[in-house]
Amino acid sequence: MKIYDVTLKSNIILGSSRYPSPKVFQNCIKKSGTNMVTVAIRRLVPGSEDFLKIIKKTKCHILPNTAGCFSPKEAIVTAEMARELFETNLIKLEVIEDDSTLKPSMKGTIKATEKLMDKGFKVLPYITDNIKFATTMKSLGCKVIMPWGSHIGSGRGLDNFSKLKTIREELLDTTLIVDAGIGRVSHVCQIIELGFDGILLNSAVVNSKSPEKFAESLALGMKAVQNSVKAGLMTQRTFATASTSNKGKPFSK
Amino acid sequence: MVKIKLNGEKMALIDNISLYDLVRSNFSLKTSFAVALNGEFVSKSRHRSIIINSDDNIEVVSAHPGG
Repeated sequence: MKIYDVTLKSNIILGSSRYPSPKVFQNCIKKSGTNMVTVAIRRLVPGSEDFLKIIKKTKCHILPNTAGCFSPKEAIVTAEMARELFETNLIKLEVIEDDSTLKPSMKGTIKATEKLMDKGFKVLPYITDNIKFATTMKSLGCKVIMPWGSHIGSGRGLDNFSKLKTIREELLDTTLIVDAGIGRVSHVCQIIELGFDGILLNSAVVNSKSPEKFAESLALGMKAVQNSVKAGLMTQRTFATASTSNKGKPFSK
Repeated sequence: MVKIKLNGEKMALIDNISLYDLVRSNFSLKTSFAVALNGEFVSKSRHRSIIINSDDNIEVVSAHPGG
């Protein structure tokens, strides 16, 4: 999967939040096969462990986010601090408009993207499944766009297949990643079958009883669905088509 | 006294010191960090030359787990 000029070995991006321990986090990275993880920035607390060192040990590409930002201004400054900290121009842009749904703000995301592009960032915007939102992001120069499947942390999967399908059909040459709402491996299969390039998830892994096992199942599921899509999926039909031939059927005229 | 806010906490400095000295005296420099002053990003190369004034609002951040 291509993230601007970075080619990932896996189509899975993992969040780095809420793991029971750094060891479990590292195991999940290995089991999932990912080599890109998302990270945030927060106020430095005296004596706190340097999370950057833990992240660097994983040898993964770092994708900083602007999680929790409610204004373009906040998101831009957060991105600038993240760029210096993590030495990358990549930024997963989140400009939220609603605290309870964590719905991304179209107006705020557009404004922040314009400014960040001018400052040389490679923006990966977190958006809804609104086609206008997606095409606007593309027109601003985003090569990777991340629509939600459903609300962040909900685990509901894809609330609206047809809207996501429309985005895929409109943005053929854009890397499309479903960013939020994934709760099961079956959701991953649906996303890849829709033609999306990849997934970004966190909650489904860390809320599993065994995050490592879940991470492994993600990799297996991703491989299985990619193989089946490569093999070719049959066209869906409205009516029944018998798979057994009627030729030679007894009792027929 | 120079009254400022550092990571949301009110504090008073005896003198106008540099941004670099403020961070050094409050945090371990072994931890990677980035700084914003009054809502604007300040690159590392400018930390020593910027002098803290009254009512300045400084945010010092580091890497944190995130999804």
